[in-house]
Amino acid sequence: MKTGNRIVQDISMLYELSLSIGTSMDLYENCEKFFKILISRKNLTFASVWISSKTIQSDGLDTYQVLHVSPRFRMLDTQMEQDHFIIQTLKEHKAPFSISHSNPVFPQLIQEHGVENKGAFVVYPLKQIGFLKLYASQRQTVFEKIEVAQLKSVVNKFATSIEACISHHQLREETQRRINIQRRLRDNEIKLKLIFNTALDAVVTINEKGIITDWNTQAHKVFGFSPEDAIGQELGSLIIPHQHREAHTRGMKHFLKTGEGPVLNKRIEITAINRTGLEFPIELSIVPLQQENGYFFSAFLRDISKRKEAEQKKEELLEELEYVNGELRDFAYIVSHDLKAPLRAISALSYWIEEDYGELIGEEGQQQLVLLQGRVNRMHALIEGILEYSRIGRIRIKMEALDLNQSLDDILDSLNPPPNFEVRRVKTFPTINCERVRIEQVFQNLISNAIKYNDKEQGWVELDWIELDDHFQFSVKDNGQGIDEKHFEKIFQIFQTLQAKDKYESTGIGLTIVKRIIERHEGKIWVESQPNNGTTFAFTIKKY
Amino acid sequence: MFIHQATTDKIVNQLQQAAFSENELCVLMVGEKSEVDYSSVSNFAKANNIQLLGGMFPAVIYDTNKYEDGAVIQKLPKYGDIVLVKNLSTEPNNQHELIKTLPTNKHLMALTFVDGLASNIAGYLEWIYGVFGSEVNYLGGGAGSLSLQQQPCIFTQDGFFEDAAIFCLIDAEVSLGVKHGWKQLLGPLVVTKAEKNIIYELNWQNAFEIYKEAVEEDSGLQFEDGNFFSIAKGFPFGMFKEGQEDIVRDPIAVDENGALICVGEVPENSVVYILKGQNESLINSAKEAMRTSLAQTENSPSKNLIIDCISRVLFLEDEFKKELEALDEELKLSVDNQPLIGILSLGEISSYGEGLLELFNKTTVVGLIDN
Repeated sequence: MKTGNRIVQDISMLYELSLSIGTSMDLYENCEKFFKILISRKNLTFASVWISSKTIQSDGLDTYQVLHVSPRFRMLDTQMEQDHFIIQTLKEHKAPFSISHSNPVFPQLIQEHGVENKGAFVVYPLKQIGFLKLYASQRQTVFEKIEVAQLKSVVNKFATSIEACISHHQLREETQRRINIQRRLRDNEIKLKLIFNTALDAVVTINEKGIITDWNTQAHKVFGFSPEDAIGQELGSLIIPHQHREAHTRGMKHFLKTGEGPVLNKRIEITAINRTGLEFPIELSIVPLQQENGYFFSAFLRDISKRKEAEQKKEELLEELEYVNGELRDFAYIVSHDLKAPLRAISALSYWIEEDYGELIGEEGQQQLVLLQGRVNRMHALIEGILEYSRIGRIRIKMEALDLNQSLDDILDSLNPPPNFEVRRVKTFPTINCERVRIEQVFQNLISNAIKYNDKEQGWVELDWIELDDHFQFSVKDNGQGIDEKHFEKIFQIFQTLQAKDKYESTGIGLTIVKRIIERHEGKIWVESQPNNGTTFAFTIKKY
Repeated sequence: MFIHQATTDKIVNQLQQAAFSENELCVLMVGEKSEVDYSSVSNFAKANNIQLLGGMFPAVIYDTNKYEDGAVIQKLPKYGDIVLVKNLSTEPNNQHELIKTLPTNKHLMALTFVDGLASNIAGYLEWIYGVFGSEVNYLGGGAGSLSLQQQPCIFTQDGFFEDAAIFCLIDAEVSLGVKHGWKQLLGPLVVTKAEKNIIYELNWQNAFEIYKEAVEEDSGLQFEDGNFFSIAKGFPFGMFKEGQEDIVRDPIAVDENGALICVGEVPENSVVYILKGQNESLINSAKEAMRTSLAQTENSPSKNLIIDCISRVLFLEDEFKKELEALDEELKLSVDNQPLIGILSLGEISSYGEGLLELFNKTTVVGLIDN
């Protein structure tokens, strides 16, 4: 029988232990506070709480795991299987039990550091959720029955507090999860609103009845109606011109009935009206979106008045340009053609004078006539050149395959280079698709220039080519007198020659024609040269 | 080593002569009335690579006397480095890296000094115990001034600190004896409102009113302005611990609201008793502590470290010397020529064998060191 003093001590301890339970809904704090008092007052070596994994997670394993240990350095095993002695004993007896070191099963209970063959354990079930395991190293025998019974109610209360803590924790996690979702939703809503209101297009949404539900800042700018003015209004009567309203209403009804809408999900150009009643062109795309309570339609609209104006202006300019170009071409053709007739007459007259009056005008007069005929020939060549040049822009010749090897052979035959002149090819040339006659004209012109202006005793021209991604690149290289860099641009300009026309017979049109032909073949021409060091003309022609 | 009427120069001279190796710890305990410039001592230790674990205490013990102006030094083999925990009241669980792996072939001792007037010593002790558990034996005490005004009282080679604790593992086995001899007078009383080391309410009433009524009735004395501690030193609180003496909590002051300020934590809802001491039982308990400690020693201990509570001095007054003599006599029965060395502390730190590490008050802790 306990003494009155001892009973008071026990009650005091139970009182203190009871009040140490449930002081916090935090699992750790709740356990820590209880364990601190329990270990100190009961002079225990350690205490641990084990909880069924299913209590913490409904889909957890069929095991038990440590929830709290004090002191923590004792913790060794943190998991216990269903077939463990402790679990089996608790299942069988459903009551607390104590085992001291003298019991042969004692080692089966050891899951902690520093427990040797001494002391005693006591294990309490924690309702259906787990158990409390206590150890006192200084005890020689088991915990007394009355002692175990004393703590039973306190431990039950502790079990309830653990359940409450776990529920609280789960509730907090769930609440936090919902808060996070709500926060993300709010963030997204803000983000969408920002995008909506900063969009460069007018964005308008309407419901199945055609009532405006959203109206962004750009819509305000484009149509002149503020969101307050527009939201709640019927779209058709607000911005759709009278002549399109019926089609709009019909289209909506048709879509809601059949799910089909020919103008949906594509860009169309149509007209709309603004607050002042002005009708103006817009680009419009409408996307139907389905929600639980039906469809809504999102429309993206862009005022294309300025673009339309610009397009109109461009069209007019192009037409004008075409007209002027045609006039110019015709002018060059007509002028050239009309000039040729008097030239022919002058030429014929000069021949007649030479034939009929050669003796009368004497040798000096005949020389003057030869000069006159020369100038007439040059003038003729010039007019032919202008005609040819105007033809290049005017007449498109069909593209055809051209074997450049054969062409070059023909060109060289016709040019008939002098015996001291060599024209060589580095490698076999390709067959290309081009305006055959024009490209032959290019090669002929460049090679004949190289021969004509060569000042060396042993002159040569070297022809080469390489293949690029989209073009062929050709080169015509000679060992002639070379060209100063300052003339590189000038030589491609019309009527420009570097030598006196009397020294070399030249119209100054050849390279201009070459450049134009190459540009019509989407290529470029350039020159690399130094005076007295030869010249290379290189050019590209697009692969067709 | 004992330094009578310790000064900075005398301590520095002793440290020089002692020639500490890098594996040795200099445990320097100084009486609060010594004329010591602790910063200079720290600087000297730092400059000479001496690992210094030091505290300023109300007094030190040497042989059978206490010295308020003396100093004692114990040279002990250290294991690992000194750990200094600052801001003890607010951050007792500082993120300090403690040694994680302890040797398996020997038992270590953990020596710690704390600022005895810091308010979260329990948290600090829980932290250490949580790391090392019962793998080591603990010994230590609370430093500070008997004026009970908090001030710097912990020092290492890195400085002089207030509201701090220091800790070092010692490569030696220690046998411990812990006793106080105080007996239950009144109770139980329920601590219905408390925070750390301050009791606001007892039995749902003002703490001081309840305490005053009980103590005045038993002692026949009257609490008046300024005499609280002179009466309270004889009537500490005891907290129940099964199979052991009650853990003593010393009320050292009362504030203007009637809250009792104790050395060490008193948990809210704990049940306490008012204890009463008698000279004979206290002196006998000291002797018992020495006996308990000696009984655990396998070899003759080479050193001793006595942690005795300053409030025992205040209670026993002139008879305190008898307590030291009792300790000395008991030690001499087993060990020759070994003077007592120790401190009179504000709170004593030890563990009962494998039990929880506790802060005691009004208790004698005997540590016999075998290295």
